[in-house]
Amino acid sequence: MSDLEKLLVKKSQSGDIESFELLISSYDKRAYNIAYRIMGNEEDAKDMAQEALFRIFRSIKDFKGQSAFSTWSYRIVTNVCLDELRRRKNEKYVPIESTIQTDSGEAYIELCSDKETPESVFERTEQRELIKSAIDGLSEEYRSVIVLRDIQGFSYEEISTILDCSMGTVKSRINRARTMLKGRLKSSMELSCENRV
Amino acid sequence: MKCETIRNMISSYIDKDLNDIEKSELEKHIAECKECREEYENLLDIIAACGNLEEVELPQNFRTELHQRLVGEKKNFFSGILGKKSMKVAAGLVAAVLIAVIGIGSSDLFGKNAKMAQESAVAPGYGEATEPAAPDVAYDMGENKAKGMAKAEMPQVASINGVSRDSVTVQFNESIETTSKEGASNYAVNDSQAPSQAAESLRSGRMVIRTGNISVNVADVEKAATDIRQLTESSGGYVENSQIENISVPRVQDVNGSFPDKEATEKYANLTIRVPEAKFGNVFNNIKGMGKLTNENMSGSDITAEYRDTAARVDNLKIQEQSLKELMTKAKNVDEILRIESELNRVRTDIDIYSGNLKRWDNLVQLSTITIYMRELKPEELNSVDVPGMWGKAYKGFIKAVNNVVAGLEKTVIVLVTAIPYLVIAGVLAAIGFAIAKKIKLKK
Repeated sequence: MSDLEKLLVKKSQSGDIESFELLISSYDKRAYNIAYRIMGNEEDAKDMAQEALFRIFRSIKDFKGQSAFSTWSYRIVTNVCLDELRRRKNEKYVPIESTIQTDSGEAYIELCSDKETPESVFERTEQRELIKSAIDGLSEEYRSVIVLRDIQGFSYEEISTILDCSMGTVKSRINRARTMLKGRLKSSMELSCENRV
Repeated sequence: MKCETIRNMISSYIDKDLNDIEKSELEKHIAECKECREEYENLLDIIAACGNLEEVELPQNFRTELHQRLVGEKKNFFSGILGKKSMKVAAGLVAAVLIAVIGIGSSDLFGKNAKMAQESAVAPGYGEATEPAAPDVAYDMGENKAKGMAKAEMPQVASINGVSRDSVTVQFNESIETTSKEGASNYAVNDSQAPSQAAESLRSGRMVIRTGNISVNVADVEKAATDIRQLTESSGGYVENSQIENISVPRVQDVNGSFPDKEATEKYANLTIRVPEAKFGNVFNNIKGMGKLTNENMSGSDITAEYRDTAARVDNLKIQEQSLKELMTKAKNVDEILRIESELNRVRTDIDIYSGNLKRWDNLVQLSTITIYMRELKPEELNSVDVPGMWGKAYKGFIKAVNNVVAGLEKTVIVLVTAIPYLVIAGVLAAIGFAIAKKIKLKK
């Protein structure tokens, strides 16, 4: 943690909102992205990210500096998202396959099908869409590690702090998640390949 | 190496998490094994694709919305803004301490008073006529709450002896001039304290004759007398003696320094009532509350010993009587008959006398005696003597509360000092506990 950051943290701990906003300005975009990738849509991502940042502000007094502020924050973000997912799972069956995605998801596809786009762009976009759905279809356990490792690029160590589990667990989870993802993609990619042909 | 093992390692290989040996093993295998190589490349693609996902921008009003929320929270934050948790804890502690202090202050006195009441006869609550319209002070018959009873005062006890001794005399003397000392305001006498005395004497088989004297100033003597009569009768007693006098008073400069227009008459009343012992305290207090108390007095005398002696004597005499009667039947001549006759008479007379005593005592014990002396005072006079009005009472109340707090503080200090050894031990244990808890947390 840089000195500036330390100072901002301290000021935030005594309730200074401005300092806090400055502090999180380095992290809020990434936090939002984590939320987006885990939740699967922008609406939820916004809610979860804001909630997480709010909680960070509220509990910043408890931040003891044992980990990096960023890691500590992302942990809260991840937890907020996962908790919500679990809560929803308990409440009702959410068909993930179908579109929980909002307009952005639909629009994407429509955009692509309506316009005449360069194939590569189209492919890339379609590919992204495929991957996104495949990721969205994973259980939250696997989804979180894929998001953190392969999308966000956190190290194993950071991930173990964020998810609060051992390195061994992280490794095996990543392994299985990737395998799972591969399996899902394979089936949906085969479909898209057929279409292309 | 087997394909399966290799496949499990691919993920770690991509993340550069394999050691040199494993790494070379894998690279070697992949160079040769097509399936595993495919597997590796597929995984690589997927991961690359994941990495290619675009980073999404923050929505337009994300930060402003968050700002709103933070500001809203800050308002709640303020309560903890004194910043640390410890402040909250401290505030809580202070509040708790204050409550404890006040609680100890008032309740302790209350406890003490209750105790005193039990040791002594009946603990009276001293009434003052605080309202000018004192005589209309409502008192409940058979209950102890006289509204005229303001704050109670500590009785000046002349002497207390345990009831269990012979010839107990308990006396309370108090004249109203003493300034109100510290006393719990909810020191009102309960019903329970009055009969407890009587119950005790009955239980232990003591015979105690209770007498009381009350002097009160009232605004309307006639009415008070009627009230007393009613009170007595409803308690199951009777009025033994009642006398009301009107005395003309020569004209005299009154309080304001002017001569009254007409001749004043002063009214006095003397009543003697008998009430059942169980109701004694009750009635006593009620009467006190009828006006402004100027004097009161209570005493009890234990006549158990004499009573028993007398009773025993009567029994003996009766036995004597019996044997005399038998003797009579055996009498042979007139001379003997006459002598036995006279002896018998003597015995019977004694029996009568002693039985009479016993009966009298029974009466006295069962019905306690209260003598009441009342004087009529015009409301203005009552007014000028008392401390009237709301502000006076408020002031008194305030003083009392302050005293309460002080007393409470004293007691708290005592309690705290007493508890220091315990606190020290507890503190040490808590500190150890915290240290251990922290260590556990750190390990995590």
